[in-house]
Amino acid sequence: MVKRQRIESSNVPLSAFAVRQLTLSKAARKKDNSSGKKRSVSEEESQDKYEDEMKTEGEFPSYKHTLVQVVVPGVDHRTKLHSESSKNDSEITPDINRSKVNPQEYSEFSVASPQTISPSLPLNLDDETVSENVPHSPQSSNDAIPVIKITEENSFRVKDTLYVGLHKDQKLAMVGTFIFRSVRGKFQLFGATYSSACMSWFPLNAPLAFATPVFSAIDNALPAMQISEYEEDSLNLRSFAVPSYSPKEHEYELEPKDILPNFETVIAFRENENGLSKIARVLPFAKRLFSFKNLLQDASSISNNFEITPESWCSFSNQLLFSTSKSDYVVPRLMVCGPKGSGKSSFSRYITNRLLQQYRHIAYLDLDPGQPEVVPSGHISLYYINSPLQGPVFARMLFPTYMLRLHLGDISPQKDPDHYIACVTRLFAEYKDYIFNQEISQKEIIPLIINCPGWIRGGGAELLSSIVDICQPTEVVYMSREDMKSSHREKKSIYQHKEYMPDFLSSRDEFQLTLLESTWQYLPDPNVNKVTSADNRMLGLLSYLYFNCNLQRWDFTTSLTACQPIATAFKGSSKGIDAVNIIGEPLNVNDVAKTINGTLMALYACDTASLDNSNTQRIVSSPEGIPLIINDGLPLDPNTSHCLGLIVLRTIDLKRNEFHFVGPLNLELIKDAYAKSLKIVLERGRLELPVYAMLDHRLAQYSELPYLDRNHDRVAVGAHRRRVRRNIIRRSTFVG
Amino acid sequence: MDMKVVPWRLKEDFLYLMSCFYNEGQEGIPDLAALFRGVEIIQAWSTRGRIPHSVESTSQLVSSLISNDRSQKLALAVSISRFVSGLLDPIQQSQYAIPMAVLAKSIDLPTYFVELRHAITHEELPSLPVLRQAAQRALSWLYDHYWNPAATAESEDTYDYTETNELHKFEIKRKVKDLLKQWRSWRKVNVSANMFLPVEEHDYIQQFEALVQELVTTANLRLPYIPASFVDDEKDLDFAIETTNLDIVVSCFLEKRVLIPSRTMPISFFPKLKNVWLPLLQSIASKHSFFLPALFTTLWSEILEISQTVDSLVFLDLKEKEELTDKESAGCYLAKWYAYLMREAYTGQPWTSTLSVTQTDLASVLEICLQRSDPFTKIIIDELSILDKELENKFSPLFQYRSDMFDSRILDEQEFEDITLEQMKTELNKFSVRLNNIEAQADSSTMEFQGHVWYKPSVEPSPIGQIIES
Repeated sequence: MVKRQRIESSNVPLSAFAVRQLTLSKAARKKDNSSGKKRSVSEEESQDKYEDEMKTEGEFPSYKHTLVQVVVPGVDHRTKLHSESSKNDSEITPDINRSKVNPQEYSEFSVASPQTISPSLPLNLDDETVSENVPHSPQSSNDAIPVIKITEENSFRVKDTLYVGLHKDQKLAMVGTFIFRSVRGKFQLFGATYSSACMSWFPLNAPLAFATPVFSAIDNALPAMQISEYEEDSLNLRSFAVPSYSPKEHEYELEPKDILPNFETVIAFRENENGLSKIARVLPFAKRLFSFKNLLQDASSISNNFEITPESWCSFSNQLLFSTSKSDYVVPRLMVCGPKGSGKSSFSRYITNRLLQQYRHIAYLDLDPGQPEVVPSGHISLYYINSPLQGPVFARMLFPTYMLRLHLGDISPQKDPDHYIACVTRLFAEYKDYIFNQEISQKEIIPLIINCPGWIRGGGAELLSSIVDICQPTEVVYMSREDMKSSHREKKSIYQHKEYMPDFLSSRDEFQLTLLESTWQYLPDPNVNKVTSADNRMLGLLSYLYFNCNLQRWDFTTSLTACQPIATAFKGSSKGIDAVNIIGEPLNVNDVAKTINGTLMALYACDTASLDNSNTQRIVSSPEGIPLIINDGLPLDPNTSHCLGLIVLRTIDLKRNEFHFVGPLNLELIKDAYAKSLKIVLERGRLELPVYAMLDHRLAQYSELPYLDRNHDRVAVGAHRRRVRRNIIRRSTFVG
Repeated sequence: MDMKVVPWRLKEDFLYLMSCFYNEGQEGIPDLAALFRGVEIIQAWSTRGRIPHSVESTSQLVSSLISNDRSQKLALAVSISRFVSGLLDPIQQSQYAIPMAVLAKSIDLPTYFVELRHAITHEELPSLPVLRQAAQRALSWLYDHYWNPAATAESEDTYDYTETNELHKFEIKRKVKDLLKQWRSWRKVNVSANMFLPVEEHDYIQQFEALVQELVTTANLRLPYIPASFVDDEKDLDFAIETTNLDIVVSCFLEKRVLIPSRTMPISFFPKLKNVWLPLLQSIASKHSFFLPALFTTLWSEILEISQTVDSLVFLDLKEKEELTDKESAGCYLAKWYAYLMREAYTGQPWTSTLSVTQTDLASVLEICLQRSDPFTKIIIDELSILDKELENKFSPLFQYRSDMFDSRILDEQEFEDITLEQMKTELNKFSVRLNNIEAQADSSTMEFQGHVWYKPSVEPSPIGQIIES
């Protein structure tokens, strides 16, 4: 692998990124004296830069030195720094968090250098603003993001369209389910830049309790990427954008220049009734997600949690994009890892959005079965993305995209690491194939983002090491949950365990390792409003199951018990299901029907050969005639099969020998599979259907419902399912 | 009452499993085959998801007792250790660890097991006979503390839901009818009393308020068979109708002596009747946001039902008819009320703020009415067509046509006689072809890929995990 120097030109002053690196390395050195080779390199580098910077100070005597902070948009650093220094004078040395940089030179770097290097390189000026330029008012930490309010002056409404005008660097936060587009000027949304050159509308679903998306207006003169309606390509990707909406603008006979003429950037919004806001019908706690009146609402006063992009993320992506022009440039294969809750997914999403400025597609290898970027959980997959990923995962529409999905049947790789690694190998081979074909046909090679599971201790570290061996990343980003600001250390985290970066990461030299900070430390209180990962999975699963692919909207009002199923036979010549595989212990064929009925199952397409009888497997028939694979409870071979989707087996009809399925089943995929003479197999993993998905008040009059029991867990001891608590503190006096 | 997901399909499956492990009322343990079968069943259940700890533990204890090889000692040790920690771990509720012996007391688990677990984990492994005996003890503890209570509690828990529902409906109806009766008799005497004065002013206002409150509270109550785990969606009318008493309350209003006169009355009586009930409707509407919408929808479906059952060829126009049947009279009054509510809502009367009627709604109602030929929908057309100039202009030829049809119906009857049987057959044929086409379209959901058939069956709502027996 080619090793690259991160910051090459020596006349460049200390970037904010370097400041962060410096902070990191110092913090790391404090904790860990035997820091790895990689880290010490970057540390020296930063140290050098820092010293250079100190030397150049004298050359600009006319400028008063201003503090350049590690600025996070919207966080009021003055109050923060103030409270830090007052609380922890001894612990914190001022030069770590603040460094003296000449403002003029700083801004010159930011504006000028990308232009000289690559005209298409976007800028994140708003993310790197010198604190002086940000209008701050002393606020409580709750409304720290300076988002504007929608007033009569900066907005105006024509029929169903709301136009909001923004001046440069102003930020606007909206919640609800809506579509948006730029009417004039440019703005950014979590790393992606939108400009008025693109006529399409983009859907965005932003519930409360999740970080609210922030639209920030940027300088129109700056070069920015174009998200345009991509033409159909070899991957058959379809953009998220909704071009069909665009002609409507002319109905109002409005010239874009006449709309709010005093503002550089004007964004148009329209409510988008897609059914998502009704999710509380199937999940009680989701009530608070859309607890506002309209489907389009100014979030400035109702949200206390805004999407934050730490400045170090931004610098990192700038560097990544910046280096594309170099001669020894390698298309990045970026692996993102870190402990649970450190913001791996957020960062992967951010870097994807940024890279989409440069590339038409990004390959995304999602290896985190617990919280994947495409619902539902329990799978790992490879897919190609051509539009920015915006909003929480469950609130994104299922998009028709090229995707290879493999079913693990569990939310963690822990139960069967071997199968997991086999799946990773298969997915990566798929990417390699694609790259190979692109190379042969001299087409663009696209970068790969690898999002890893949050299991990094013990077996998790071994697994991570295997992933590195398989995928050979050129870049590894380790997201650190450790507080980089010592003042936060007392703040109680929801994660009680200390994290340690796996040692091998710093000892290997075939990739560039970067430590990045997580966003949660910027939240006013990380524990408030946090949607737990279990809740998030539940949201994702329900969002998946209740999505209507034909209408491209959610229908939470028709329960799974009431909606129309899809049926196919499990025996006979016209059967649609060739076999059933149950992961886990081998079982008695007599129990098969009752075991799989009413469960979530993965629909698989398999090679015919993989179903042949062999030493290790054979297919037997249950008393009902259900064909069952007897293979010692192993999953299907990932090399000869792929997952078509997740469905619920609602009914077993023994009269007609049929299964009835509910869920978003794409019959096109089944058709394709048959056309390639593949077999269709149902695989049962360990994914559970939440009770809410099984209920319907119309069924409540039944005296007994299958697989449901009234208050069973209250009648006797040990009637509960096993729960593991990992946060019990042992007092030495108590341990007996 | 709440629902939980369990691994057994029906309670009988649970009881069957129990009989595999324990001989009911008999001494000794069941035969080996039954024990094996029990372990097998639990193996199958465990692939459905997490299973109750006591069930899992029983299976582990039993399978290590019946295994007969060298590893039996280890198997027994592990199952006993897991039996104890599985019971005690979940009741570690405090932030700091409470000693296991203390926890064991709280669930009546002999401390013996806790000590044994400690020995298994940290000390020398106890001997095989000791472990065997401990496993037996654990199994009988599980019988007393889990299996038996669970089996008996559940059989008591079942009762006839349909019966409860009918009973509940009856009770609510009686209550609401009483309240409505109270109001009617009072109102008939004080027809012109203003019901919207401040509460303090008159006694009767207070009583009125109390009565309205009673009705609203009743309507808001959940139906008895709706478990707490059903999410409350305050924004949804259908949900309110399906889960609360609202539907029952509204249906009481559509009965005789309420919004319909007690006997057949000419339609000219409507203003008087309206005067009796309007204050009550207005007051309830201001306190229950779904009352008016529910009343409105129920009125509409009733009207449609009546309009379908009445033979329109015999019964042409109200004015010409001397005697109305009960049903006809009721239908006319319902139509009057419906038209009245719609007019009030469409013209934006403040008391109907909970009922929103748009131009599209009005148009679709008129369209449906125009396709009918009964007098009830005619009342609606007559009352509502004047509301919107645009619609009136649009629909006026149709209104005209409809009136013509009413007048010319008698002539038509003579024409019928001229139609030959042949002609009728051709006509019928045409229709059946059309019907088939429509049906075929609906059935296009059957897909065949290389001989494999997938289709969308039309089935009733059914619970997840249903089995249709052969």
